[in-house]
Amino acid sequence: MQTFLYRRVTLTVTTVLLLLVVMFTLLRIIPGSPAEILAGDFATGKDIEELKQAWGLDQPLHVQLLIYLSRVLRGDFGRSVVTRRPVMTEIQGRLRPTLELVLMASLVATVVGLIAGVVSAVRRYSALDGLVMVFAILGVSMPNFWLALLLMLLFGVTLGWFPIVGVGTPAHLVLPSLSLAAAQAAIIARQTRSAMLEVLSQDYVRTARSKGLPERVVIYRHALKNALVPVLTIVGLLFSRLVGGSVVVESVFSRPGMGRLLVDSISLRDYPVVQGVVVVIAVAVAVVNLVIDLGYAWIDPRVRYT
Amino acid sequence: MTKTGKMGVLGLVLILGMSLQLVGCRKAAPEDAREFDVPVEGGILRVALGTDVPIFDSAYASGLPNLGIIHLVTEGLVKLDSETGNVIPHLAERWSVSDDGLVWTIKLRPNVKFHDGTAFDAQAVKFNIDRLLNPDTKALTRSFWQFIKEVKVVDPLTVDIITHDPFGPFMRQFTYAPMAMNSPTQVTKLGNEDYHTAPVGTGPFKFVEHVRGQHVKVVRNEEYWGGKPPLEGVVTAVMPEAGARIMALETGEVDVAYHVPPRDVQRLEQNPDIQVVYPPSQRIMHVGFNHNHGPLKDVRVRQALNYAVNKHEINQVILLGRAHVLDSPLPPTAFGYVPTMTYEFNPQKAKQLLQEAGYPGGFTIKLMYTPGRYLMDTEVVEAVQSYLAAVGVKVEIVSVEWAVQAAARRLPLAESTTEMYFLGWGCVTLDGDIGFQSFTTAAFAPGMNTMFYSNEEVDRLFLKGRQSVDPAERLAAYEPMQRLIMEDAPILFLYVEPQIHAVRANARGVEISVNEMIFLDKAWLAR
Repeated sequence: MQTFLYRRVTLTVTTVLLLLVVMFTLLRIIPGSPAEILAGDFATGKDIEELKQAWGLDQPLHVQLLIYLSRVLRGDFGRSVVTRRPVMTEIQGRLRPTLELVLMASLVATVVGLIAGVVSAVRRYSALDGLVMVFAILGVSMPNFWLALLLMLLFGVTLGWFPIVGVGTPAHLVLPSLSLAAAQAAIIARQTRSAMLEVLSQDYVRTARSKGLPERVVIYRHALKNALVPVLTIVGLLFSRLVGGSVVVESVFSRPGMGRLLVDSISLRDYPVVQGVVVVIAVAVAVVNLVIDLGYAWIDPRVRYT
Repeated sequence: MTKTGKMGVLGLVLILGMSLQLVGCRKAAPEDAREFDVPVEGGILRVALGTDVPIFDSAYASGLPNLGIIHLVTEGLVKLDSETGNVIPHLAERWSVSDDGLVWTIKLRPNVKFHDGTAFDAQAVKFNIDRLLNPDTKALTRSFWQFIKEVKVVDPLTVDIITHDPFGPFMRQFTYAPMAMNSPTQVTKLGNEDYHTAPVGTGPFKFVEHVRGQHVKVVRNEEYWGGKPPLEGVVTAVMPEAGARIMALETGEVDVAYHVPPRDVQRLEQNPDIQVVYPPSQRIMHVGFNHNHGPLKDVRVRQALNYAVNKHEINQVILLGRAHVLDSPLPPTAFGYVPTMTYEFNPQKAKQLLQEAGYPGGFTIKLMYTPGRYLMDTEVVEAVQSYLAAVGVKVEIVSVEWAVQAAARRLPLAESTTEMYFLGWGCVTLDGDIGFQSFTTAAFAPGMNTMFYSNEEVDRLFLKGRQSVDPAERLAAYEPMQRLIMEDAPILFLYVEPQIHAVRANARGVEISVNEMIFLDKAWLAR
């Protein structure tokens, strides 16, 4: 177990560093730099040059990269060229709205998806099954920004139940997490349904039923636990998908989270912030995947890590 | 604002009417305060903006209306009248210029204090100007202030500002938002790097907090020199989605929503709780031509493209008729503006000019633009494309991010590969000097002249207008100059972009200026 953890952590650190190098290079290869943008309409060529010098952008690429990496290894991610604040201060302020949103959406997607999947598998070909599957198709095919706007119109403007923009109270979390969770809940529901259907036709389920176990125990203890293995893989991927989706949902609901910070920083070519956000997201996704890997062992005792 | 004026008149009429009917008949309703337009104390006004204030220090911030929010706290020496665009006194009471045009003497408003108690005086003015000029400050607009040679404190309420050469647009240049007065005590204490965390100015509101991406909070300055503001405070909210801003306005979550898309205007106009406002504007929307690119080298081709596009129809169909079709390179509110000419829609003439220039069958050309940057930009660009197609010019629309466009346009002549681009120029100081600068040879890219347009006579007249401090002399230079520019057709002249914002009906006295700045010292919330 310890060797496994050690290996995984080393792998994660290497991945993140590699990602950072690729990111750093890509950002500087794509056209545009913060200098032309921030200098504004009235800038002269000299203004733009001076800004580039001030940020060290006039140096050769590999020199910039080496300086940057040596600072990052000492924990210094630099300062934003737009706000002049340390990158990690910028990110700290944005972590909470995104974490809240992604965790809530994961919870909603997993709970709703699992229940819906189990119900429609157990009541296969019933009207309920049909209904769940129709919603699942809708959920997968509806773009989240569009769903977000529809939810805002219905629950925010027409009914006035929930605030439509901003952060602060749990009520602010309802509509964004629903818009973000819908597609993922649908995917989980479909995956759970097919996994359950497969498991329910297995011999041990028949055995469990024939030895007189109550249906509830058969479904939840015997069938679901076995059906969970493929579902868990989906849930693992879900996290990174939700982080991706939060970029859009945060913009629509005006949530000041990491996704929006990333988008804003890319469009302003705020290199240090983009790099910082990418590192934080990469580390988070890596950690979640590690937890999921450990989760397999809990669900399926045959899985051993050495 | 005229609205306030109208309400005042309405109030008088109501008083008269009521006294004739015998006042006793009518119960005193709470709405009376609204009808008589008597400001009510208190309340927090919420303003929804599409973008966040990048940094709460005007030395490092760019972009309007963000700079306007910073100006609630740190003000300038002079400001532009929101209606007429004239320069009006603010922290400076009056000014005069020496006969040789090199020394501007500025008299400051007495008894003004910064929020931290520091006196606002000549020393503070010198401090702030020197700060922007100091290369170590790395202010974003440093080159904008290079005309200043030296600032001299004459007495506590008088400063002399000495320029290298006579500089005509001097006072208007000082209306530009980055020239804001910050407390020297606070700047020195926190340093340039951290001053933005606790900025201190003389404005009607004091800085409370700026949570990045979320909001800016300011509270009333009880001792404001212009009188205590009725509002208790102002909160801005960042809402990138126009749809979200409008919904938040409709539900009353915010009181002011910036930049309303024309498609929502009709619905909002019908809502009695909301008022759509259309302040005058100054952004010159145009299609830039790279004069070094094939067909665009020929003035007849550039004129033909101008004749081919029906600007009035674009205005009526796409922009609700709220735009001003360009009849000069300047917006009508700018100093130096003279209605000169418009290339009236004439596809026949366009075809004829193209034939004369040797392009009877037209040609294919790229048009670069950034979706979402300007009002209805995609619709306008597509309209231009179809008008040009009608005269045989095939336009290939290339949509790129703003950073890509800015970098591509700013490449010097030898490297430039742009052909045409859709762009808006802010004429922020409302002086011809800014508006014309892009047409001068000295401003070739990486400067503002990203067309590489060059006309010696224009260059000469431009300098004449810049280096005279006599307004009449300046106007005399600008008039023939705009005629020359219009005839050379260096760009496809389109329109002045309209400003469309929406305000809840109970928010009174909200003033949005011609350059998108918001003034709230007289604003109040009716109950």
